[in-house]
Amino acid sequence: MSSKNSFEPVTGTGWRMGFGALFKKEMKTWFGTNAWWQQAGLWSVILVLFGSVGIGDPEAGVFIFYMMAMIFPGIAIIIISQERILEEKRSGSAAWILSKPVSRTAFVLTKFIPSAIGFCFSMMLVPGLLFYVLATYMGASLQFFTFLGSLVPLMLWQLFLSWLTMCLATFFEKEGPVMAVPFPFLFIGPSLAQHPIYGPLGPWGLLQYSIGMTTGVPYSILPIIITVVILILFLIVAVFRFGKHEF
Amino acid sequence: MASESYVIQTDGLGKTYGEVRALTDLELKVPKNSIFAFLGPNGAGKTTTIKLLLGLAKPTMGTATVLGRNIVTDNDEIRRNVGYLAQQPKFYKELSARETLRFAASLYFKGPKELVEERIEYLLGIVGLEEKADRPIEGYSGGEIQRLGIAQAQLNFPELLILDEPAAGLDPEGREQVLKIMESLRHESTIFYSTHILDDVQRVSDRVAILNKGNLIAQAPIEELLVGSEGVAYTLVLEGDTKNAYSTLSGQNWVSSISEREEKGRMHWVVTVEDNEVAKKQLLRTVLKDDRVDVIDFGLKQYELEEIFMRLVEEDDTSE
Repeated sequence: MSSKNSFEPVTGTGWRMGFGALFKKEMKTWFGTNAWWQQAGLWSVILVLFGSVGIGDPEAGVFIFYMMAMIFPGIAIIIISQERILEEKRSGSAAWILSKPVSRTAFVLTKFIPSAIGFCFSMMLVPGLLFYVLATYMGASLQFFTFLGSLVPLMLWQLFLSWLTMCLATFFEKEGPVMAVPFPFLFIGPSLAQHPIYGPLGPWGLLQYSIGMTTGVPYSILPIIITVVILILFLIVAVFRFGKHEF
Repeated sequence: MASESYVIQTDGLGKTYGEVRALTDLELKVPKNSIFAFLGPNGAGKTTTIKLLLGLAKPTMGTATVLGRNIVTDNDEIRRNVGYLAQQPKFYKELSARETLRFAASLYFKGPKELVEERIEYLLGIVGLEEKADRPIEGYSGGEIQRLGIAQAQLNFPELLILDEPAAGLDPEGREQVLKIMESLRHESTIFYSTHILDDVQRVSDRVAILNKGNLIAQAPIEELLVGSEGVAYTLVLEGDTKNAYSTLSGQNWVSSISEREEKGRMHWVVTVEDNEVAKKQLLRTVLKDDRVDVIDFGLKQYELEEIFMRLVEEDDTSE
């Protein structure tokens, strides 16, 4: 039997301790299982179906697609996101991981970042591309790269919901308070986005920004800047709070 | 014993949650290469202590070292060299035992891959999970999860293995298997385990600490603890007229007390002695000098851990 000295130890220290192994594991949880294609398939069907309502009016179809892409995947994203940290805290698997050479920062980062990649890919990019194929086939005049770019603000919106949920999960032990905050944003967001004054002042304005990209009507860049700042804040607050958590 | 001989050493360690004192002024010393049982009723503070040692919670008073390193300032290094099994271990249920061990190993070792696989195979063998190694964990029994927990705790060749209630909630067969595994690992690591199952403690441990309501009420090698706080005692079962023998024995300066009770016409004595060396030679001879007494049974009193434990806990409860 080999001794410990025959092994090559993991040498990461500080916040990086355990990051590589956890990141790989979390990416595998999404992309190494059926999750990525099941989610991609589900949201492709739903969003393409909604978008195809505007079959006689392709421009209206594009608008419906954006609107639905803002709301419906968000429901799933909030539900999945609340499990990522909350469930691990409650079940004891977080304590198990953190009893090993893993930093709490690495634990939080590897919940936030791989989830973001998975959500954006399966629930925004794949359905978006399929919708693009359908919409152009139906006669909508969409520039490929412009349309692709217009998915980015929608992705940021979903990240806002996801990271808000995960940030709250570092504070609370039950689903109620964790989901009570993001859900109102999800349903009020599209209406707030239409408001001439408050519209550009928060992540909800991202919908208008996406629409503006494809329609050529310029929209304030404020929602993008504000959302990026908020996402960074969520990450910092979550890392700080989780660092104080006692198991 | 030199402080470097202790793998765990706490100095006034304590933890409060708001107004609740979960642990008070703990002075624990766990010697290297021992199987150390951390015994106490539910809610005594055992799990809190373990969480403090592993950095999963922060102490509100006192300090402690594990493997010579401070539990607050040098916890990363502690976790590299310690193996831990939680009270109710929860792993990712979609993974198999082998995948769980691969994942846990990746937190310690980058490779070589073949050695990691060899280590995993070896530990699966030790805990008897080779045949189920590739099935998802969600179908495992409590005992199998516990055995997997021990395997993952042993992956990194830990100098110290911390097991929180390793046999709790298992059926007798599962408990037996876990205890055997613990015994088989004693030459690889110091084992510090919490439990409230007294039979297990008496069977596998060589040292015991007893915790009650957050207070350490005893800490000693198990043989020492089993002797009892009154010192060495002998039991005698007698027939006949024991009055004179009783007064003769009571008058000996090496006898500290005699308790007697009658059962089915026989007298049962428990003779507590101050000088065991004299007692070994003189006790039985002194009684047999009296022709009216027949000795039916004679021996060293064997305390059961349960007896000791209950008495210590009751004493601690009444002293409050």
